[in-house]
Amino acid sequence: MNDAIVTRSLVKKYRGGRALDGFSLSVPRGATMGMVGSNGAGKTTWMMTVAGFVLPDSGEISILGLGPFDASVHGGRVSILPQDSELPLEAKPGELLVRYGRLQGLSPLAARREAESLIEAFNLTSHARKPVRALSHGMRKRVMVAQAFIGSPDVVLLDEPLSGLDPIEASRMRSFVLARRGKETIVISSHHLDDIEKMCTHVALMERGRLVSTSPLSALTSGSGRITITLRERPKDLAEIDSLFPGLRTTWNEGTGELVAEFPPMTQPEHVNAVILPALVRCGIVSVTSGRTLEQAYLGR
Amino acid sequence: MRLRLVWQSGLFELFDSLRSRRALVVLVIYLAASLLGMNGTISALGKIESQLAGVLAVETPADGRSGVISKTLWQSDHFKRMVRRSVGNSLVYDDICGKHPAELLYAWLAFMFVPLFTILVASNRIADDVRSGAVRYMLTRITRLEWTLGKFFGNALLLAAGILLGSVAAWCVAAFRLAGADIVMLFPGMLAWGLKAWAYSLAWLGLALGVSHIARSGTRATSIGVFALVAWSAASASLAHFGERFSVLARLFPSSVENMLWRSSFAPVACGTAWLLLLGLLYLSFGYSLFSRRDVR
Repeated sequence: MNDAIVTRSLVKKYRGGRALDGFSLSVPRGATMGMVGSNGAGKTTWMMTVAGFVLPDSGEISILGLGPFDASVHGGRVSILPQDSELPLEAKPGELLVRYGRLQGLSPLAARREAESLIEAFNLTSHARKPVRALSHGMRKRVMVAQAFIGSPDVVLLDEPLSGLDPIEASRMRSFVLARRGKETIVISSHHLDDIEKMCTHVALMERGRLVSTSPLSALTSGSGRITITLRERPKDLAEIDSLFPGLRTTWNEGTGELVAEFPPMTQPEHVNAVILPALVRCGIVSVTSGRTLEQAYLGR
Repeated sequence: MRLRLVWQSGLFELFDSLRSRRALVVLVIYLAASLLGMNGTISALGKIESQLAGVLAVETPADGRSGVISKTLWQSDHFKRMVRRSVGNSLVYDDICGKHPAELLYAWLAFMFVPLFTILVASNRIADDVRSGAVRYMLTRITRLEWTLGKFFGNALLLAAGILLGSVAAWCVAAFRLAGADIVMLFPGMLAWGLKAWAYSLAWLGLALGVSHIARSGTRATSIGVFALVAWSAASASLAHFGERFSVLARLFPSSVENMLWRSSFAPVACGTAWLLLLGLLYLSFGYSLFSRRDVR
């Protein structure tokens, strides 16, 4: 079986409506999947359902081919960074990680070693012996993410792992996740699409409790038929540029200083570049990107 | 169920409880209650026994310290008959009539305060973890049942520590305030009463954690726990009032087994302890049965 997580037709009703409304999604083994959707789309509910915290009203779940989450079967093989969940406030990060490692089935020595390695990886060495109560929000978040990786679980669910982190720590976290890519199946829920784009191999778009689309990230972003050119000045006549290549249509985004050139999908971007870039040199070319960013793909879907 | 994980989660619970200020405060209050309760009761005993001495025409104490008359009283036939009637159980009376009054005073205080102590220490432990979300870091690693039993086990250890410390504190007061040369010999006796009080606490612990499963916050759980304690005590007293007619129903309340713990021989104490543990697990299982089917969010 190639999918680490399979969910079919999941329905979860709350008083206010349906958080999951027939949601189906399969996450391939070893993939790093980003879940993207607006507030209330159902991302957190789906993660909580997969982790066994929330019981679905109907639908099927299979994790690692062993059925829905059951800690006696999946214990130690699935971990989660839950949203809005506080760590025990009086415990210290170092001992918490050892504790969770022990529950994952690690020996005391292995748990201690792995905890130390994670403490170092998340830049928590000088805070490892302070109680959680004394840590800042960002530090607590790093401990929370670290606990999700102890014991090398097969499936790691991260709900908003980068929220509340400063830019340096966010970058460190992204590097950490990138280094784990392929070792674990990782699912990341985030509103920061550039983070998803940097870390993930697959993307699932969801809205109102339903799956909109799922695909490898490259299929969504490197779609042919589009070039984004960042310029210092606005081109004077867009129609003149459009006339340079058959089927070319350009639009100018004043806010970002980007000229988006769309052309027939079968056309090689290099051919288009060869024709239009010389005409844009006088506008000051800053960068040329082939394909779309995840944000463009998400907003333009 | 994996006992190794229950054991580990129980130890984590014990350490977390010890670190939480609330448990420490309750522990300190219990110790203070043991000290003050013992001291106050001994003072009251001193006053009562000097009055009784006159009424029952027994010897007066030579040194004025409490306890001498009580021992004398204990040996007077008139007083024995009075106590036998008030205990209402001849087996219990036979077992306690040889004990030092200080032991019995401590036992009486311990059995009276342990239910409230237990409810205050334990009733928020599950509700707080569910509300803060800390439970979610555990439940991908161990089952809900293992986690619940770990909570029971960890809090039982905490209560054991608190109650036994309380018995040591009470013995210190007794050693200081009571007359007689057998104070050292009192220590194992009071420790044994401490252990029996701990056994008594197991049923209340099950009630506290059972309530904690269904409450949405620790504060609410504590309020419900205290209410349940009052309701249980009232129900138990009402059933006792009706005598044998409701004796089976009365067995579902911890106080119905208290008499067995007042005995000296092993068999009734062991049976009483087992029954209290079963009761505790029964109360716990009611809360757990709801918790096992509800969303943890």
